[in-house]
Amino acid sequence: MSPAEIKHTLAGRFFPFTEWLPMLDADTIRSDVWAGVAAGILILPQAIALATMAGLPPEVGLYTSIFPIFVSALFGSSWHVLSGPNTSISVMVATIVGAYASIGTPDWIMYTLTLTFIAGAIQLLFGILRLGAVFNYFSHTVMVAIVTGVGVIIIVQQIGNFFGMTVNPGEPVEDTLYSIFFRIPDANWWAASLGILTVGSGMFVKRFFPKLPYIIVAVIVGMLGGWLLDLLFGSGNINVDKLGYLSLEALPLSAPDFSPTNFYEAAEGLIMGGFIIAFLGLMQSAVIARAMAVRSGQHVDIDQEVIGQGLSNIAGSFLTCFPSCGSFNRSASNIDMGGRTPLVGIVSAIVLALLVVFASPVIAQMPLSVMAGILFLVGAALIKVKDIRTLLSVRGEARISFLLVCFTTVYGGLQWGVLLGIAVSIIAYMRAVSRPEFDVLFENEAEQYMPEGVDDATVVQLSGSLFFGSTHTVERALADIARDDQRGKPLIIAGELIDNMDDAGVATLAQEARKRKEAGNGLILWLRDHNLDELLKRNGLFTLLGTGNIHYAT
Amino acid sequence: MKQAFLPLLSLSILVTLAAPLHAEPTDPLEVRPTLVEPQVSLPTNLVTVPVVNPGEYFVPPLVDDIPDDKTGDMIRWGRNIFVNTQKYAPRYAGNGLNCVSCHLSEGRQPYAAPLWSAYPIYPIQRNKTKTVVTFPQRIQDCFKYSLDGIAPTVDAPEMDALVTYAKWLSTAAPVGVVLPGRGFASIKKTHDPSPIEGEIIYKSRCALCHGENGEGQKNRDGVGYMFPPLWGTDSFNRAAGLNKVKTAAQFIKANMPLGAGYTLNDDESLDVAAYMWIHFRPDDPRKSFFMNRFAPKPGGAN
Ligand code: HEC
Ligand code: HEC
Repeated sequence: MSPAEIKHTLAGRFFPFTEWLPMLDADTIRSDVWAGVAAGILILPQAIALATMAGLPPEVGLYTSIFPIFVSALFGSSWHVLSGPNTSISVMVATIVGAYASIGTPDWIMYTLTLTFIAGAIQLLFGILRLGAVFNYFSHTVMVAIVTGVGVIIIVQQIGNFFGMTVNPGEPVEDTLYSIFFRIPDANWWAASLGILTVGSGMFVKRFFPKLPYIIVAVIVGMLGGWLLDLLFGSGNINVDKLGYLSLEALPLSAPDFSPTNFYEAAEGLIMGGFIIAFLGLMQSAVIARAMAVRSGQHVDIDQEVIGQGLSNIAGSFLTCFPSCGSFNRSASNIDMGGRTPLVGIVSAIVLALLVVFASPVIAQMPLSVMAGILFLVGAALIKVKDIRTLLSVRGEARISFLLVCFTTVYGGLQWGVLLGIAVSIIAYMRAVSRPEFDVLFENEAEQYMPEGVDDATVVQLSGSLFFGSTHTVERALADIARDDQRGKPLIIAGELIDNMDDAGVATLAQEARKRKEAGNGLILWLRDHNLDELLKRNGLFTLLGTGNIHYAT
Repeated sequence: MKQAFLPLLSLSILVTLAAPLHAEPTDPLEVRPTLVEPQVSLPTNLVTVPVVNPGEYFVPPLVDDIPDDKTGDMIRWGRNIFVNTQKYAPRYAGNGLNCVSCHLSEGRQPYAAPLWSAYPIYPIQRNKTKTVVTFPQRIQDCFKYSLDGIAPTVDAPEMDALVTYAKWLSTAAPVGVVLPGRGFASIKKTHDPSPIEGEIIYKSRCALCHGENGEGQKNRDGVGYMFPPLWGTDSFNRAAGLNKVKTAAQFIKANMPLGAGYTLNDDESLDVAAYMWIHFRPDDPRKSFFMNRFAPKPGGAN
């Protein structure tokens, strides 16, 4: 590496923005500004709704959609990722902080800020230690399960708002459903009809006009409906609860609180919560990094991305933000809108702030049931029925872990869902490791497998199970070996550690044996015992190899 | 001499505080004017609780007695919202008023609908809506009408804070008993209130603070009102209690001009209330847009 290159990568690591700043020309700026305006408008309803989910004043949601974007634009790796509030994290914040403060109070906000800082610090640590790659091993099944669980939680929590009645927060799902069932007669049907209008129009647009941003359309339709009802019947009569006037401060300074009186009693929960939130954020980042590589062609350094997220959360805790993370949906729509650089994020933050300042009287009239309708749509979008159906149709491991994690998330709370998910992923990973593995053996180790008369051969040790799921790996490995020795020598497979084999596995071996035969060499197989003989015989391996070429270790 | 003075003083205060509450309503005209100073900023120590005749009215606890725990935080938050709604609950305030604009002295002033006289008797049957309302629901009404705003939901944290504050103010108040000082002063209507008379009184007694056009006076920094507006877009709306001539007169009689309550007699109060009433204020949210344009203004009768 030349000194200039080193300097370049160093700058890229510590100041990633030095790489895209020079890209800004008139054309890029123009397309980015437009993408930014769109992104700024799109985030508004979610920012408000997700803050409410987290038990925070809507303003906090707006700050969270404004400030972290600047930081991650400057320090993140991807040029298209837009960060902001996230559904799972909102649910998580509410669960964690709910143990220490009553919802929405200044204490609640204080604990949330501390939580933001802790999550950010943990993420930063992950990034610096370059642990981002770990998240590539996070089981996809578990991810779907957690997200599905979050979708269910969101919908259940919002049923009360949807019908214009109050329910106790933080009750188990079945209690909420039970109490709502009996209180349906008390529902405010004006509110409920607005909610239904919102959900209905959202679903309609999503189905028939997939190009339109259905959430925005749903909000507008719902709010127009509310406005019409007010006009015709008077807001004092229909009594629909509304959002209220939002007021943004230019610089809402705040600080995480680590003072003994406030922090000690909550330390355990907050640190565990911080870890889980960091984890959820990283999970998103990993998905985004993978997807972005496909969509935009930019290679995303996941560790750098994680550092960007960590720094933006740490900064966020000083600017009244709750934990945020890169948002997959926003990033994807950013690319669709033609955004090219992180300038999009900066523009979207400014647009959002202006929108709130100037449209405040209009936004203030947003009925809470419309907001609940929006969250219904958001929650429903998290429950990906198709994915789930494929998962459930496959018998075995995936189905069980899906059901287990999803159930735990909904009933036990998101934090346990995530922890269980981590455990399930580790187990799945370990099992994957126990699948076939190749080791090429040399010298002494190799010689012990060579029968009389063979003095030069390629010896590989094969362990794990050789079944339909693993033939692919085995084939590849055999092909690699063939490229190496040109099939110029016999191949000895030391298979005492093979613990399982099926027809597909045998077929793979047979194929290789045929190829070796064509090249004039044989394949010699070592097995542990006679357990597999039946199978091999059935697939004609005995005749193919010749009985003399199959040896047993015992 | 000096040493003997302090115990004596505290003893006399104790005696007055411990004096039994008289449940029978007192004739407000006989009591002396209140001693409250015009209250333009948040007083931190309310030792001079506006007791018209010491012992006549329930005495809520002192601000210094707010406990130093989480409940105390809640009480302080509720008090802040009550005294400075514009700053602490801007999300719900639709005009320039604070709760304290009408519920004087932080909600302690007798005959200015004090909180301590309200909290212990809720839930209650209300004439306005013909239904039983709970305390939070009553507060929602003040947000919707008196503050011309958007009511916080009954489970909103701000609502919790206000209720906690009211509960604390009524510490040791008897439950379910209508205490003297509840609501506003009683008034007898002897003639049809005349806005013309009212204008004369208004110009001489009220305009000084509330402005020639009832527009009030902003604080020096331009944020919030030192003297709240009595009508116009930044005042309470047509559905508020004070938009009723009679209720407004009751309030004015006991409390206005600030610091000189009971200096207007019943007729004068009614006249000035009528003068307030004839001006423009925001729409009644209980009526449709069209009814607000074409139907007669509520509140003029009774
Ligand atoms: C424009 C003046 C005004 C403002 C501002 C105002 N109120 Fe009221 N409030 C009234 C009137 C008038 C009544 C009716 C009193 C009565 O019925 O005797 C009332 C009644 C109440 C009552 C019930 C009193 C009782 O004795 O039943 C409560 C509680 C209350 N208000 C709370 C609040 C709170 C909290 C706020 C601030 C959000 C507030 N009010 C703001 C005028 C106001
Ligand atoms: C010394 C100044 C002063 C004078 C004079 C005065 N007021 Fe007020 N008035 C106030 C203040 C201050 C408040 C708000 C109370 C608070 O914030 O503690 C208020 C509140 C009110 C309110 C309730 C809040 C609102 O905006 O509707 C009414 C009604 C009112 N005054 C009417 C009158 C009338 C009528 C007169 C004349 C008889 C009058 N006032 C004279 C200072 C004054």
